[in-house]
Amino acid sequence: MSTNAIPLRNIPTEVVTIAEAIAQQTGLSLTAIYRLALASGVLVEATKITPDREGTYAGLDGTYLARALRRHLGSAIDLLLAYGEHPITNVSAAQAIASEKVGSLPTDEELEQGSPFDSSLGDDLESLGIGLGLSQS
Amino acid sequence: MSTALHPAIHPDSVLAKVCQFALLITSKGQELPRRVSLPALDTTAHLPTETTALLAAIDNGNDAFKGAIMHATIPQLVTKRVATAYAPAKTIRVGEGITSYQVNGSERFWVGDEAVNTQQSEGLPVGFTTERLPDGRFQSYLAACLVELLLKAGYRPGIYDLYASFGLPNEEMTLHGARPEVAAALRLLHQTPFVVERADEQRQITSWTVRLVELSPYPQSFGTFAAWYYTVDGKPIPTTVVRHVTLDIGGGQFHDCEVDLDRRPDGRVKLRMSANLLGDGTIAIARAARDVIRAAHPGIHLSDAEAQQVLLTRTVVVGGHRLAVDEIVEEVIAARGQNILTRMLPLVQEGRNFLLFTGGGSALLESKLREIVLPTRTTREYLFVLREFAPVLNVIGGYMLALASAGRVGKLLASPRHSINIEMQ
Repeated sequence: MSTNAIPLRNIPTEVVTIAEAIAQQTGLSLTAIYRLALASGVLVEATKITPDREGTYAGLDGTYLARALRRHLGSAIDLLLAYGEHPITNVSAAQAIASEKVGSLPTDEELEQGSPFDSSLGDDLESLGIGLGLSQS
Repeated sequence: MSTALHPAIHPDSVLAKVCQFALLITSKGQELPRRVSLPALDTTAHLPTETTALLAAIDNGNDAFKGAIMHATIPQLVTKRVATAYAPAKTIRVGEGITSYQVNGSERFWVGDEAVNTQQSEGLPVGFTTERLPDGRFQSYLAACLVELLLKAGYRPGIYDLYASFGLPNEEMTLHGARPEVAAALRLLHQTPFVVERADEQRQITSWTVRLVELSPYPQSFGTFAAWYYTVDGKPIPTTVVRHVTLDIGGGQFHDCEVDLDRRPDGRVKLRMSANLLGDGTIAIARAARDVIRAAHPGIHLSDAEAQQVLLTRTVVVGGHRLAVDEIVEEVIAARGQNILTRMLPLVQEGRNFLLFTGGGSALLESKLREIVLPTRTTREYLFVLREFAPVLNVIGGYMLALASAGRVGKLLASPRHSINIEMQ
């Protein structure tokens, strides 16, 4: 591990503001937050460069990098999903979902209209004697 | 993502959609419901009212908790598997912590792989529901697992009422529901608020309250049949299969679930089901591996959960080093796996059965199972569920059972309608 101190300058003010807000909310020190951000950030930066001739990203095997990133990006992916910004494979579906999210939320009346679920499965369960809740038995 | 389907999987079935990572949208373009509105009693005004609960499915396996719930915002089913392991949490002084929980003021504890990997791992009861649920640590573990499921599905800390189907060992069910003693054990969870304080790896604490407002028991192996047989709409698939046998090799137990599909003159298909406990699941292999490892390394005492993990990772920690034990595991599978194969042989030899192999153990034994199945059957006469779904398929089907159950007592709240034009893609 290198022990050379690396001076960091020209960090945008808004980045510092966000880091200070995180520190205030979590009780972590600014140093700890920058350390965590650096650890996550270099992994993300590694994904941005073209793979080398051996197919690695900054010397990291793709599988290894993906596993390492997963630990860091879980919360970010949740956020992307929550706000319809996740580039999921089914682009048309994603666009449909995202467009609905920016529109008005459905009312309870809209939600209750026309349950999409067929009664066949429920009928089968009844004939098999399963599907009853504890409150009913 | 498109995955070529096995010929025994109908493209409209829930199993097909899950295997293809497709969105769960009905033929009417609606997302599968996430919530149900249930009649309730306002205890202060003593007036009938309504409460809304999230739909969920729980498969209370001996080796692991498996849960399923719709994602909070996208129409996909999210599953979560947590190894059945519990350990009192230790204080991590430096470095990244381990996610820990405190439930209803209990001691702080770890669950799953993190608990297995500590030397303080405590065994949780293995066996039948009546032996497992009364243990307070088990209840806390279950509540923590539900929080992990909600979190994975994109829900935020808060208060959640859940309407859950609950997978039980097949033999604990009767034609009239769960056996009375099993229902009594389930009532320990029913309507009980579990206040879960979760401290994550960065020591950020969040608070969750989870309450199982309704539990609908089902024979766990029937969940796999449901995923295979029903569409996202809850309709049966058209099929020429008339005798379907699920061979469910779990961690704790090994079950079969035989379903006869009897087509009536009016076109409706009547189902008849029988389910049996055939013997121990992969725990028998895990314990044998534990004995062999202990003979080779007398200082190594593995719990059941640790022994199961050895089967998966094929490594064990000895003297502070992680050692590969592939040979031991292979030898034990060859020796002890034969017992499982022998027990299922009559069902394999019965040529009129369609066979579906599932459960975490089916992946472990797949090569040996194929040796006895392939010589006598064509591809459309059997199905090995993909490795990544085999451990959780019971609970995926369990979600469909929760929908059907909830739909009979409450109003399923349809999610927004989507105008997705498949032809345009």
